[in-house]
Amino acid sequence: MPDYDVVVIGGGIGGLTTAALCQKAGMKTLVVEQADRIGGCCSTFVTPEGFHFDVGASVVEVTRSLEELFKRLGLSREDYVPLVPVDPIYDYCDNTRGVRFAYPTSVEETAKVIAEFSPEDARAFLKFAEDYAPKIRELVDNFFYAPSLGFLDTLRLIVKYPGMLTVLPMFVTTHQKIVARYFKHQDVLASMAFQSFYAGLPPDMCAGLYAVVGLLEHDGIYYPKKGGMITIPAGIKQAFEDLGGETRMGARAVRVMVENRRAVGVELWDGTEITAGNVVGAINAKKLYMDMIGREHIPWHVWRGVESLVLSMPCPMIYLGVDYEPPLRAHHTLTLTDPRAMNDYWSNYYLKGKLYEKDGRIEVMGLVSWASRVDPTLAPPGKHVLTHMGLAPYNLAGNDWDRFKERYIDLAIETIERYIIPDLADHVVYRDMATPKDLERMLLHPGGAVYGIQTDLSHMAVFRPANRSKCIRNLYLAGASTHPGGGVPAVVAGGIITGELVVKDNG
Amino acid sequence: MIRLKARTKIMAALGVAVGIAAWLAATTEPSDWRYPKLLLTQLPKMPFRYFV
Ligand SMILES: Cc1cc2nc3c(=O)[nH]c(=O)nc-3n(C[C@H](O)[C@H](O)[C@H](O)COP(=O)(O)OP(=O)(O)OC[C@H]3O[C@@H](n4cnc5c(N)ncnc54)[C@H](O)[C@@H]3O)c2cc1C
Repeated sequence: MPDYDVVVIGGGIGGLTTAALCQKAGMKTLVVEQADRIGGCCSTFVTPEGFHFDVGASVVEVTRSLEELFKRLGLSREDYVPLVPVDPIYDYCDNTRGVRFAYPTSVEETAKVIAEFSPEDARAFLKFAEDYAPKIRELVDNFFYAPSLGFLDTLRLIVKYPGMLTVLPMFVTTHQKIVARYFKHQDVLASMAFQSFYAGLPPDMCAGLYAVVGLLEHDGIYYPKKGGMITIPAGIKQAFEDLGGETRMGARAVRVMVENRRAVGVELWDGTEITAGNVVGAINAKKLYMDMIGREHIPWHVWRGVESLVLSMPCPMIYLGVDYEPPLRAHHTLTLTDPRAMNDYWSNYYLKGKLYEKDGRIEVMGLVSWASRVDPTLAPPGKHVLTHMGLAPYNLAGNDWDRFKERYIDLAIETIERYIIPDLADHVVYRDMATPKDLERMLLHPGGAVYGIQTDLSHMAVFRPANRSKCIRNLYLAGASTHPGGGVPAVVAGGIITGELVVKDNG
Repeated sequence: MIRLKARTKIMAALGVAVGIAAWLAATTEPSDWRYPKLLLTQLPKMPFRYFV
């Protein structure tokens, strides 16, 4: 008799979702998590000074997958993961040109905001929403929850939801092409462009799908009522444990035990062997196959596929505690998202291991998140927390992240001062950052990659690592690097797919 | 459940990859070459990724 029916490697959103569903189906399930904190990229840490910072993820765009999960668990999402809406969705700010506008949740109100400086683009925005919002909703409602193990699954999905066919062209065209078809004003284009980096690619190389994903934000974006983003994995973990599941923290898995191409358990860093009927790898799929299973168990053509997977772009995170209420207007504020600059950044800087330069000065592109606007308890009284999610290469040409870290924080603060908050440096009382290398060390997350594996057509659906292994029996995968992809809502949806496959396969 | 031989699957994956290439070639304007180029460089890898 194995020790467990299911052992899940990784206590991130993906692993916890899968574990909760297996436990709900009566399977004895264990989650092993290497860190001493749950949630991986979607988590929150506390400093000795009392600042609570989100490690990575700073908002949830689509809550339906969380609702679906808790419905399947027979529990109330609200009881376990209380969320509040965040409105406006984001602020676009460029003080160097005196430009500032914020997009509210309502599509009509957003059009009014755009109309103030570009009536033509305001009409285009309404048309854009009319053309694409139903399509993107259909995609998310269907594609997100259906397994994509092979072409037959794709065919089944299309037969079941023929409307999916209208979505397919969005995969072969680019973000830039779709947006340019509707909008002309430079600031509107810039306010839309950053969505492409959600896929880890610039607007002219990113699937058109990501141009429309932003419309989902107009259905509402959410943040935990109290406690920061860790509230989401902590709520799922609580549900899992209330159902009888077991979590072991500080337990790093080093090997998936495989016998005759069948997963039979997991070996931990201290040599402990845990046997299980099924193993779920809810960590980076490339790392799972290459480092924890090994070539000897994997057919050559699968190995070639695994080797070929491209990691997504990393996102360094800066954590700032400030001693006043920052002059911001939204949970998220964008800096430097001109699409031309983003395209230029990719080829002339990112791929060469360099940081973006404008007028001979390094500038740090990214997004400032102000979490204590929603939840003031995230900072000591009178103080606030800001995080900056940037774009930077994993390997810095001629430099090293550990040496460059403090300088990068300085550069980011200077950029934020120039574009958004003029006196920021005077108010910073706490500063730290997680470089791509830190994220890799903390989360064992190769390359510090924001979505595990790049999200382009060649890494999507049947070409993304499958939720049920195609070469090792009783091995399943969950998390950002599997179908349907990265981001909290997609990872929950993927965890649902994986959980349901494990339960179904085990009768 | 229909069971297909590995050879048939590779042929099907290649077919889809070639189909995508043809679609891209037909729909792309010369000024927007970077996305097709990205996909074309990935194309030979897609049949292998299908098995992961
Ligand atoms: C900087 C950043 C910002 C982001 N912003 C957003 C956002 O605003 N909104 C959004 O929706 N998404 C965002 N995302 C993406 C989202 O956070 C992730 O897609 C999602 O949280 C990934 O969940 P996961 O379960 O796949 O993996 P992870 O969160 O990486 O969890 C994997 C877990 O496995 C553990 N682990 C790894 N190796 C082992 C091992 N050998 N043994 C045991 N445990 C192991 C890790 O410690 C970790 O806890 C962001 C991601 C990053 C990095």
